Amino acid sequence: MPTLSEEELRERFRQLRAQDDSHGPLRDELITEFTGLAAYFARRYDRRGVPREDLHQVAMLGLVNAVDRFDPEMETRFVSFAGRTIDGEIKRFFRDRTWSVRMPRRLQELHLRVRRASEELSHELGRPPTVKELATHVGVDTDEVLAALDAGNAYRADSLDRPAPGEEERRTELAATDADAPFAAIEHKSLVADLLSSLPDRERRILELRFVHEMSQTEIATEMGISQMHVSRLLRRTVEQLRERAHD
Amino acid sequence: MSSERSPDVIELTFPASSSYVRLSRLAAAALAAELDFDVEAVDDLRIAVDEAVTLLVTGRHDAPITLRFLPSRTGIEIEGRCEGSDVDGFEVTDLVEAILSATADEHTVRSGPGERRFRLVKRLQPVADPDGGADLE
Repeated sequence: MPTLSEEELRERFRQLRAQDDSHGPLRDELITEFTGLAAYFARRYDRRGVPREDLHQVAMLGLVNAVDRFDPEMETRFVSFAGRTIDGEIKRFFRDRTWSVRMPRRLQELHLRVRRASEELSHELGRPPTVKELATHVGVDTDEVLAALDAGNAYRADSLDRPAPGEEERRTELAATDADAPFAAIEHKSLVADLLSSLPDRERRILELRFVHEMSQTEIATEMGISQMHVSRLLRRTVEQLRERAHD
Repeated sequence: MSSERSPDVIELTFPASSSYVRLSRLAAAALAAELDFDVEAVDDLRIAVDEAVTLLVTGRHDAPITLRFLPSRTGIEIEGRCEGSDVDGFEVTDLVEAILSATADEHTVRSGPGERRFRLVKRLQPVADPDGGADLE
């Protein structure tokens, strides 16, 4: 459990941010300090058919992301920021498991590696990495990176009629919302607004930021405190859902 | 890459089925990766291609779809078309319009009796500018 006071912790983060070597021992120290927090969140999702060590790994990934992204000048305490990040990472992992039926485990793992690499490189470079940079960083060729990226965003037509476990409930819920509103009959002007209003808050916010405010994925990621890859995935899933429903 | 040679043109023809939308996306992403687009731009392009190709595929028709990819040093241009007597118009909703204008730098979609077409342009962004800067038409 954390041994540092909140102020000491913020001071460590300020030091870390001031360093050129953002991946040095100080970062490791901060990560180690909160390993227990990652374990705590991993345990919360225990007994859901996922090996504990996998969950722990995902939680650690969330922790690393939190350490890399935490702004010590923010009012939020690191613990709550990290908690949210870790929790998000685990939830995303469960969502990603919707692939598991048809996606080789190797590709799933590669996807996680690519996503982490993308975060790291974005951080280092101050811009999203190119596909080639990602490939070099991860040590695979660009084809594999593309496959991994596409895998993470998998929402293609061939799976639409087979909602993955866990997704079912939400789809039914979404379908129920629009039972009284046949979209074909709605003026196009209001179609988007109507579709948007039935989305979960976060998805709606992301869509608005991207397509109404035309913010980049990176800007949205920063604004919402999630990774660009995550924004990417949510965007694509949401767009697909909307399209599917608009065409119904 | 030689700067002298004429631009490469890559054509892809496939049946009007949504199962090939992924193929279009992957082809676009692979070409964009070759051009050194960043992951976000690749992603934008995939969304745009997905949306545009879906427009061509939608509805009952048997006309094959042809995509032309024109990669260059400044970016990539993608033209899509399907022509056939059973091809009818499609509707470009606000959503489609919003998605295309946010993800592509230029886009046009049009349809008429016997044809559907689109054209997308995604430019390589200067490294300092992370914003896609879409043109609204």
